[in-house]
Amino acid sequence: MSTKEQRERIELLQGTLDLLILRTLLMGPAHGHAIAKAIEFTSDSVLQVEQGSLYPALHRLIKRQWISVEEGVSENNRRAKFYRLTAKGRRQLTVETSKWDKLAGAIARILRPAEQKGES
Amino acid sequence: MSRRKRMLEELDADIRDHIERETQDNIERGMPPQEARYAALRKFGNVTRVKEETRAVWILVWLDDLLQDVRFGLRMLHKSPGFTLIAVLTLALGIGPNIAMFSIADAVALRPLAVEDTARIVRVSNTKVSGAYDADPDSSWPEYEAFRTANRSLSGIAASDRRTVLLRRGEEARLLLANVVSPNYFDVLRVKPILGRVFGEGEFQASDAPHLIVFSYDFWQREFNRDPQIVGTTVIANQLECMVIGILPRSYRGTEHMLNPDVYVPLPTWYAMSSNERKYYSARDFREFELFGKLQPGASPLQAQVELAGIQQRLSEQFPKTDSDRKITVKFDREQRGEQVSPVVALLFCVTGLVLLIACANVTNLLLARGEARRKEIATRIAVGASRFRLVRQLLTETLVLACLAAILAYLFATWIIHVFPSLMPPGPFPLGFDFRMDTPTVAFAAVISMVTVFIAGLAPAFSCIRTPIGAATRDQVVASGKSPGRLKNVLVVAEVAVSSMLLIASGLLIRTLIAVRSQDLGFDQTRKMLIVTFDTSGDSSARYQVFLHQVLERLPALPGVESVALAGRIPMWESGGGASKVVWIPGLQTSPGEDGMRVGYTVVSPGYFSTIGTRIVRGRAIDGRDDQTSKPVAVINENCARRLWPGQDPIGQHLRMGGSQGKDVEVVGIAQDGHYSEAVEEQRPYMFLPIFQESDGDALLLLSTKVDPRSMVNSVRQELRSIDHNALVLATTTMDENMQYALFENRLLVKLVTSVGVLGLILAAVGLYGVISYSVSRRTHEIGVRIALGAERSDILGLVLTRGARLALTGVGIGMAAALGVTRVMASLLFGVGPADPLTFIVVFAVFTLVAVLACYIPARRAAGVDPMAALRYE
Repeated sequence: MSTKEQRERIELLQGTLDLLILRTLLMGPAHGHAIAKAIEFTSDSVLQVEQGSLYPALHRLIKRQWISVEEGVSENNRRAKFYRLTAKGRRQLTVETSKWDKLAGAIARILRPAEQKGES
Repeated sequence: MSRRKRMLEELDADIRDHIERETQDNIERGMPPQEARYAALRKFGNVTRVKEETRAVWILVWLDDLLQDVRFGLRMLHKSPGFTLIAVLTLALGIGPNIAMFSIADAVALRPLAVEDTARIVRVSNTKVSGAYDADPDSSWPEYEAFRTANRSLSGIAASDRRTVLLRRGEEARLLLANVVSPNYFDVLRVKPILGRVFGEGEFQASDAPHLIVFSYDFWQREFNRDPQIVGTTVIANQLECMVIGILPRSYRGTEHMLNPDVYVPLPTWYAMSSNERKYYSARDFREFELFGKLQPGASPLQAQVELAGIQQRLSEQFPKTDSDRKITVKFDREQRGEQVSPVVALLFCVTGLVLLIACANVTNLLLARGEARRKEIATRIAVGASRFRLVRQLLTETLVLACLAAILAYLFATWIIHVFPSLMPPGPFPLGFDFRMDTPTVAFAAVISMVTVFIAGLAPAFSCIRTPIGAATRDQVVASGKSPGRLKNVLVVAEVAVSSMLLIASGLLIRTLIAVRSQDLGFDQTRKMLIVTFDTSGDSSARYQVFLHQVLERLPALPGVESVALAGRIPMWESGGGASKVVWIPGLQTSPGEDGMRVGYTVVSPGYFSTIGTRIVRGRAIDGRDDQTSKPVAVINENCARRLWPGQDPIGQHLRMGGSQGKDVEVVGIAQDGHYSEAVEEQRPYMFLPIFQESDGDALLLLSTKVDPRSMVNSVRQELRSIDHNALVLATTTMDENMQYALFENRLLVKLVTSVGVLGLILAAVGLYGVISYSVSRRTHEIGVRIALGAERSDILGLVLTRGARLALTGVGIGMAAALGVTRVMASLLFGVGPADPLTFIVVFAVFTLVAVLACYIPARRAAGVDPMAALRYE
């Protein structure tokens, strides 16, 4: 695989991961491990992401001010960092989601004729 | 602490926490603790890589923002190419001269001597204590020897003197600038040669030591086209065979700023080249050597000074006649270097700094005008939540992009200035030694000054932009709000116009002076095609030399292309000076006390001189073939001399005594027209022409008036001279045109400098005017819209704006002209053939400024006239 393709794939994955994080946080603030679990759960483990790659993504989102960090206490009384969706992030989520939908739709349209051809 | 740092600090803890939680989950799922931890780690992935990637996020986002800003900046600049062009040009005009100045200061004063341990090199100055005039702080050879053997604070002292050497190159000869140096010169000033080696003290102990010389890089390049084969061969210098043992690096250019020696000759070799020099150099009062020392580690210049002064004290007691009344100073070489030129450099930096400030002010105005036009955009962005800091950064980045473009242009501009700068220097027999180049310190300076410019020019507009109230986004009232357009800006523009118009008036007067000087009757034909040849012959006897000169006069006129030939001791305005004079006496002459007659400048000339150079003989006859050693001594005098010696009488046939009342009897046979002899502008003075074959000081220049380009004659003249005497050498050739260029050097330099600063000022003033008018137009868009809506014609609006611009420009020109009247009176001594209040100059400058002002205001005026009233009023 050429490096360019690799980069493109990573970019795609990054975008997807960002989206998944934002969507997870839509349901309320969560700490890192919980976000990882939630993504694993909601995406039916389809996206086999290493949990570690969550952290660069989280920082990217903090930097863009789409999520914020706060100190909190988790369910089992341990100190933890909670990530929370900001207003900006919420706006971004709608943008990203529509972008995602568009992409998904486009892929679907491209794939469908092929399937039809395969059937005929 | 930055956000980035704070965020990354807790990353370790976060990751550890994450893995612990995962481990805990795994244990709960029933894994043994050890395995649970491994599984968690595996699932997490490479911890180090995760940390690195997270760190990279912060750097990349920052970079990403910057790139985004730069891209946006470029897009904005691309959208208004006119603004970009003007701003970039203005900044480049402001920054360029500063970079060039720095480069010049660097070459002249800042760059240290390119030798090993340059920080330990000191200069030893030896000056006369009393008496006003003592040109050079130099030492005699005996003093040098005394310092060298007796002192302990310097690890070595080197001596060097400047002389010329004649180098034979096949049929030609070159006059070289030589540094005659002590044998240990390169032991003290350690330079690593790029080819071969340098000489050292040890080589000259034996009496039959070889004759060695070392070439400078520039000379090697100029004369030998960097041929490496030259090292190890012998050349003939002053009739002596010397071995070329090495080539110095380009960076080592001797110890003087101005002159880069062609060749370095150790003293023993020099004695072999010119045997009669030894007696000069051994004289105690022949002070010609510059001394350089290298401090012992830990020693201070003061220590060395005290020690050398002590040695000097002992010498003065021993040789009171020659060695008393001297003062020794020891200073670091780099200090001395700076001192010599710093006042001039500082002054020039003030001028270029001022130019930069004006340029900055202009660009600030332009940016403010643009900011005004962009207020709505900015206000909208603030309203939708852009942080003000982020906006300032965005706006500054735009200016930064501007500055980068300007820096590149300024750099090219500076390179050009550096390139033409040497041509502003006086022409001389040797190329100028300065090494102007855009080296690392200069490039660093260029970068720094460009960045500083960004902040000076861009900060105020950036902050003024974001002060927009948010509510203003939808209303266009911002345009009418705020302070009235700055009075300061108007004052600035008026001042710019005033200063530049004053300079241009001065430059106009200087140009008129140059024309007047060029067109005056100098008493000879300065436009004639003429080759002037300096030559050398075997010259062992005066008689043979005379024969040679006779043959030259006989044979050279036959050369194709030659019109006439003459010999002369010197020609008018001759660059090597030679304004010799003799005392002339006649009975009854009023003389000044202490003088036995009247001083009269003179030159020796051959038959044919007057017709060759184009000087009219008013009465009597010219010097001709009759006037030789066997005939009676004669002279041709000029009209001024005739009037002074024999007022109201016919001088022809009169006799005078040359060299005083007891001198040689000479008959006046002719009167030549008055002329100028030393300077292009000079008082009329007495002058005379004596026959070259009647005078003993017969060194002569060869003058050939030609029908073709004089330069094309050089080879045939050289061959002809060699066919007369096979030892004849052409030393140098010049033309009348070059001679006049040299004579007018100061006038031309003045014209070039004043005009270029004046034109620079004019451009900056035009940009300033454009900026201020644009600013006021963009502030008044609303008002102009109302006027148009109420029925004002487009031409009314155009006139309105142009009038405003013209008022500013005319105020400036008025002040400038009033100031010029005062200033040009002061520079009256520089003017010739033109009055300080020359109407033509004033009218032309006035017209130029009016034209430029109208042009500068026309663009914003047309924009104003093109305001769409609907668009301007829509937001009401």
